[in-house]
Amino acid sequence: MADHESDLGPDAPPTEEEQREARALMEALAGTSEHGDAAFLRAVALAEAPGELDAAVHERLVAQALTRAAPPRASGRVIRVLFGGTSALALAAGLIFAITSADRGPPGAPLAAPLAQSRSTQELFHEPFRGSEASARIDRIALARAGDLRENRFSRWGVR
Amino acid sequence: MSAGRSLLLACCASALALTLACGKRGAEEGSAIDVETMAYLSEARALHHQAGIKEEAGDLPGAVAAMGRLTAATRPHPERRTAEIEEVLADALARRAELELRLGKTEDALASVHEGLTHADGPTFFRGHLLEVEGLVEKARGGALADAGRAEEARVARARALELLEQAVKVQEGVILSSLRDAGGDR
Repeated sequence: MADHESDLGPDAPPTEEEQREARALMEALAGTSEHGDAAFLRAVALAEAPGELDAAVHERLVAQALTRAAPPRASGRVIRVLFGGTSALALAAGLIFAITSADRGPPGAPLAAPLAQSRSTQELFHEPFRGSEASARIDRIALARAGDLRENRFSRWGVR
Repeated sequence: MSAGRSLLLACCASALALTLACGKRGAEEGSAIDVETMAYLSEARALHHQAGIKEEAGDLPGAVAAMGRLTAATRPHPERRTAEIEEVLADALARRAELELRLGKTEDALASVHEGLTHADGPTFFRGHLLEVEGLVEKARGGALADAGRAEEARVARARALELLEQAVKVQEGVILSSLRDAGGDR
C-alpha cells in the first residue's frame, strides 16, 4: 500500500498500486490470469446468481449421492442377526433362571424350606371365642405369625 | 424382517424372560408372612391391650376408641385380602360391638357387627362369634324396646336374636366338626 494512504480521503483518486491490483483482479475474473481474490469473488457471484447446471454433471452428482446414502446390505443383515440372537439369549436366560431359582436359595445355601404363607388363624383356636378373651386371641395370632416371619427370614437366608 | 420388528421381538422376548424369571419367585413371596403383616399384627396387639387396660379401669369409651383406631389403621397389602388381617379386623369389630353394647349403644354395636361380618364370610370361629354378638345386641334391643312399651318391635328383635344365635351355634358346630375331622385325618 502507498505510504501516503493515511493522507488520502475516501474520495481521493486511486493510487497507481490500487489501479494495478484492480486490473489484475479483472483479468483473473475474465479467466486470463490468476488472482488470490478471484475464486472468492466468483463464489459470491454464483451464490447471488447461480448458473445453469450441466445435465450430465447433475446426473453424475445425484448418482454419487444415492450411492453414498444407500447402506451396505450386509450391515442390515448383521443388525437382524444381532437382535434375533439377543432375543433368543434373553429368552433362554430367563427360562434357565426361572427353573433354577424355583428350587434354590442363595448361592452356596442348602435347599430352602418353603415360605410360611398368609392363612387363616383358625387353626390356632380349638373352641368358640369368649368376649373377654379378645386380647389373648390377638396375642396368640401375633406370636404365631412372628414365628412364621422368623422362619421365613431364615429360609430366605438359606438357613435351615 | 425389518430392524424395527427385530427390536420389538427383542423387547417382547426380554419381557417374557423377566416375567418367567420373576413369576415363580413372586408367587411364593407374594403372600408369605412378611414384615408389613407382622407390623400390623403388632399394632393390633398393642391396641387390644390398650383397650383391655381401659376396660379394666372402667373406661369403656376409651376401650371403644382403641378398637376404633385398630379398625381404622392403615392395612398392608391393600391389593389383596390377607387372611390374618381380615380375621383380626373381624375380631376387633366384634370386641368393639360388645363394648358399645355395654355402653347401651345398640345401633353402633349393630353397625360394628355388620362391618365385622364383611371380614368373616367363611365358616370360622370369627364369623360365629360375630353372629353371637349380633344376637346379643338384638336381644338387648328387644329388652329396651319392651321397656319402652314397643311390644311388637320388641318381639321382632327377640325373634331376630334367636335366629342369629341359632346361626352362631350352627357355624360353631360346623367349625368344631371340621376341626375334629381334620384331626382324625391327621392321625
